[in-house]
Amino acid sequence: MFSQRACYAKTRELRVRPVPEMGICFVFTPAQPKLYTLNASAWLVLALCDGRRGRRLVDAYAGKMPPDVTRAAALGEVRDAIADLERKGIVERLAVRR
Amino acid sequence: MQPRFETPPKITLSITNTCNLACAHCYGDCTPTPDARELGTGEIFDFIDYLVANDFIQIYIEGGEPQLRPDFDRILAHCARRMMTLVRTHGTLMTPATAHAWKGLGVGRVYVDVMGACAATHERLSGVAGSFARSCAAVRHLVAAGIETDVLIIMNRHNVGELNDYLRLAKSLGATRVGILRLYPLGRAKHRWAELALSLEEQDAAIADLDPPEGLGIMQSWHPKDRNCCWQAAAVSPFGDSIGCMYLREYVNHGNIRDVPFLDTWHQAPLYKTLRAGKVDTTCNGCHARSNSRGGCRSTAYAFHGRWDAPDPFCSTLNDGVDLRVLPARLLRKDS
Repeated sequence: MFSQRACYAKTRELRVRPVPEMGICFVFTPAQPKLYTLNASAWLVLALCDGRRGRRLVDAYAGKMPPDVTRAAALGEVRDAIADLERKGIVERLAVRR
Repeated sequence: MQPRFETPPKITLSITNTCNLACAHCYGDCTPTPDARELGTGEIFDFIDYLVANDFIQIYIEGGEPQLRPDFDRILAHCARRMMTLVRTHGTLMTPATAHAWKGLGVGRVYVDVMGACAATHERLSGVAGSFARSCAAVRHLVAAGIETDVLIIMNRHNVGELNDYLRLAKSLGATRVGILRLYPLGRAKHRWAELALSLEEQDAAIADLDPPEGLGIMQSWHPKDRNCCWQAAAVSPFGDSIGCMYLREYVNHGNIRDVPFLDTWHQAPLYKTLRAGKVDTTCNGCHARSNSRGGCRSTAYAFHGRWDAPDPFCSTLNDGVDLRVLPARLLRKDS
């Protein structure tokens, strides 16, 4: 489950192939060999998963959205995207130092 | 709008025309011994490095029979952790140990050619006794090793009556999906066309009659799923020729990767650019709606009409009276 306090990063050895001309991104997960196609929204969430905390991830995502997208809506989109990316082994939760 | 890639993310690489079967419909006119002109190990490694450096993310390896190359496991080891790696094989050389080795190397999915629902049909087509049992065993070995495995069948006069038995066989073997493929007038298939080919009505009826077991996926390309894939097509023959798609192997050569970088053929070869542009006389709205591409398969459109912008007669909307059981004479001339 998505946590705004947890930190998220791409899994190791991931290969990412952006296709900006079609607004999609291919992701290859060698550990469990699969090729996934991400839509623009999931691709943005993945790009933001650089070890930052969930709260900052939602802030950054909301900052890229049109002004009429509320933070609550952005939180919902990020939560769903992170759940899907974690399930596919594309994103992982990092241990957080207290 | 026609979909497009600036550069292709996926490619097919045929690594050999060597094969230990003697299929009636072999598109590659394969031979039991290797051709000295085929790409060598170093050339294939260099090409894989080139693909990775240029952001390719998937490679589909086929033959001939890839397992007949003594360096095949090294080729897999060189690419399978760097690109999603798919392999097409007839599986007759597969053992449980090989399947586990492929799993360990990171092979993502395997496609096994099983040509009928029973030994009699399969071996009538493959020309080799015992090959049906070995191909079926290969599927079991791969599934047991934890590799997702599909089976492929090229629909023709000999196997069309047993497609639903075939689907049940596939399910029992543990396959995830079945690919039902059209017969292309290439290689030996065009010389045995009268024996093998079906009318479009027979093909459409067979597709409509499919009754797959629950959980088994079906891949097929008849109306309304007749895509023009050329917009994304990238393929290299065993001899290093950039040919766009393996089904175009007898019609196009955009350049050889020994002489010119692959992406130069993509960006510069005039025919390659024409085919990707998707300019066709007419299109089927139903098929277009499914895939956004126009006009259906370019290989069969060109085979039957001799024009790259022609409609694909394998689509019922676009067929326009073409009898698919009769090949144009030009395809059978020696220089075609």
